[in-house]
Amino acid sequence: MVELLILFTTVFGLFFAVYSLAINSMFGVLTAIAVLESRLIAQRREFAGYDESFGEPRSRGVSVLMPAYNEEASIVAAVQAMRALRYPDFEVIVIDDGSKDSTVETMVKAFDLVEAPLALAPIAPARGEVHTTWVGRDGSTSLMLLAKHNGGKADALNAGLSAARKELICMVDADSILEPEALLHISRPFAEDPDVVAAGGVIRVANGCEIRSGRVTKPQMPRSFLASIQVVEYVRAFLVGRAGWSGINGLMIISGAFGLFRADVVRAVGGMDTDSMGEDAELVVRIHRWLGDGDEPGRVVFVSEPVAWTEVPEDLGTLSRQRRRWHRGLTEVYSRHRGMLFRRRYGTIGMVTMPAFWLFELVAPVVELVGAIYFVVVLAVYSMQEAGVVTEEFVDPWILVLLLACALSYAVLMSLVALLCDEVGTARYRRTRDLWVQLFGVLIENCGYRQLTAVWRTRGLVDALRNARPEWGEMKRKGFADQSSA
Amino acid sequence: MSDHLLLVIAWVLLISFAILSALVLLVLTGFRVGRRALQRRSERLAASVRTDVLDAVLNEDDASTAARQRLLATRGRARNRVEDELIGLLPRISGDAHERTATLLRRMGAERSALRRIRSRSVSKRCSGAFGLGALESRTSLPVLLDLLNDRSFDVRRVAARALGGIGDPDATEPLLRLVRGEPEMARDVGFALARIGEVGSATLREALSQSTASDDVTDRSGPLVADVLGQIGDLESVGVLSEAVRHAVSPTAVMAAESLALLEMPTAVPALLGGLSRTEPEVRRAAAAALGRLGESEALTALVSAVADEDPAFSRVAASALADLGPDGLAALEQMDSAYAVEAVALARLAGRGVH
Repeated sequence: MVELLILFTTVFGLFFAVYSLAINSMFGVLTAIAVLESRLIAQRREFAGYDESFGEPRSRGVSVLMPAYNEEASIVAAVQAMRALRYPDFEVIVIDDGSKDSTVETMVKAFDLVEAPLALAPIAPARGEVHTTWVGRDGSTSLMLLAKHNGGKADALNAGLSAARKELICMVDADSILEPEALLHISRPFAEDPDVVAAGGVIRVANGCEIRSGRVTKPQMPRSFLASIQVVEYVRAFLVGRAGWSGINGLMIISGAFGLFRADVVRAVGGMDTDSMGEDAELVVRIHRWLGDGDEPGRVVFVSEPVAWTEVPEDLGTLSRQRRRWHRGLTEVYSRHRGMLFRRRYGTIGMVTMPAFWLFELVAPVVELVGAIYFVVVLAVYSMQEAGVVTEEFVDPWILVLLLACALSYAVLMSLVALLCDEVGTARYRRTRDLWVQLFGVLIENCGYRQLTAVWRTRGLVDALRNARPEWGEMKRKGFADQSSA
Repeated sequence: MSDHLLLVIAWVLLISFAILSALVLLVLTGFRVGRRALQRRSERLAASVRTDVLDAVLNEDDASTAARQRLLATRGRARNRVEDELIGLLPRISGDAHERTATLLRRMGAERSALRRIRSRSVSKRCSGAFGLGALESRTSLPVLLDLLNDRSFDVRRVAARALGGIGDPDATEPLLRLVRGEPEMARDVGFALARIGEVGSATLREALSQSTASDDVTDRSGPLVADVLGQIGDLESVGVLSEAVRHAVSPTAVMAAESLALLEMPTAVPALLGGLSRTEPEVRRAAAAALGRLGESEALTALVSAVADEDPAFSRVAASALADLGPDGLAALEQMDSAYAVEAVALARLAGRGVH
């Protein structure tokens, strides 16, 4: 019995160590791919002819869809900033999802809109019907407003799709700030390769940045402790992680805050799934499935130049709800599309990405939690050993501490490499002070923050398995009125 | 595995990770601090020459002559900076200012310097050299740039393609088309170059479009590219080949051909576009309908009225919009229809102040 317990303790300990090594090594491979990509980008930037792209008369038109809910404080600035994007042919469609405040009235007044009977071509049954539509007073459809009954973000996007007139669809959050040339950058893969069906851009943290007239004029690390950790997290997950997956044609997720899709493909797959809490990821996986089932050529890519800035939660309550919701969404995606796992017809997505995500994203929080519990139990046993309560030697503390230190230091190394990749490729943050804040964020992200998010993500997993009633919650936003660090 | 071995492995890993982390941290700090210092130096250098650069480029008086002399007298890093600033300006200016800048750069030996850079092993330098030759519109460097279309680096080939557009020699047309056939992702850059070469290359483009129309190859990106460029450069002689493409080419080419016919605004294209309305590919039908609206010829009215009733919503919308573009007759026809797209088109036309009852 004692030998069994010792064996159990050892095997479990090794399992957690190997798991940690594997998850960070996978990330290391993705980082290596992303590093190569960022070198190419840095090299290419000077001669890529982006300025001339703006003048190209046959750039493919883009419909920018902005779902909005209770955004009266910020909607005008957000739409103005969107309309000022540098791109030759695009329209902005704001979809008010049954706001309880005066979002609609504010929009109509600010942009001098008039009611017009726009013809809508629904691609999926609506939860909340569109009841009124507006266009510019001169009949221009460069800005349209659809007011609908509440049905959720995915439902609002479907309503926007039904009114969209351009070849490409850009889905953004109403509180996203896109850089002026974001559409030029993100549309480039579609111009270069007709097989590209979707592209995602980088999401960066706007908290703490200097913002003027709806533009981030000076990227800076946030003052909020929680937000600064998320900066590191977003660099690691969005910039490096997704660039790496995209490099091997295995990108599975495009953020709902900023993604560009071929409209015909989105319509062909039936639009957004209104039952899913991870509707952005679910759409991309469904597109991959559609491509594989129909044996169609198609690529989903990540473009690391176009940036959307977004506000992240600065309080634990909102952050926990957000992460719980994200993980629930991921679990639902897997549940719906598990038939793609290890199927060759779905290419790298089915054979590599989905299995890797299952192992290192979906079940990771459970493994981390169990690992934390294991560590606490083992510490307790060691204390009992030292106190003489337990006479057998179950635990060699040095091995445990070293293995734990290895796991943490490997994770810290990967986060540092991600920051270096960001610095080489894009160099957004200029101040030396910002670097120290980022480094502090790297330490705390791996020593405490990830373990905390593991609890929330596990709850999200349980919610999905129990099919619990969805809870979106509301985030306390500061909005993007002109902000300065002064 | 023995405990001792495990301990050794754990120590080795821990120390390795710690050392690597320290190295990465050093490099990161170096990048951040070094970049700021480099930027400050670069800005100081740029500021010191900017006034003279602008004077030399924009004016033609004693002060600007003195500025040009000072620029010619620069050496080392300052000379490189001046060259970079002037070459960067070239694509953005035209007329006398462009001529003055190009002359100044030649006197500074910029062309020789660009030719040296394209022999460098560094991709950035070869790109910079090709870019410079294109900006200088140096016809004598045509063979060099054509050679660079076979460079091992994608970025160099791309910059060389664009630079050939700057030079504007029709002899570059066929090599550029070969480039895009072999590398479809070059379409945007080759299109840019062909459009800049312009009318002088149109004969080759028309021939290429004819061949593409006769072929069934949907992967050949030269077809839609050529159709696009012919419209952009306004080559009226290409109405015939573009019309053939709308009728018979694969759909990407047919779509571009329809859009180009709209740009050329030739009524002789209407029969081909009416034929395009009957094709099976929805994207071709949409492009043909939109083009008919742009042309505004009344003979399209009957066909567009039928198109509004089509079950493809995107096609119906485009057809209704095209009918509205035909003028009072089109709007009158729309007002007789129940279709939601007809109602929308009429409402938008009214808001735009186009004549309706």
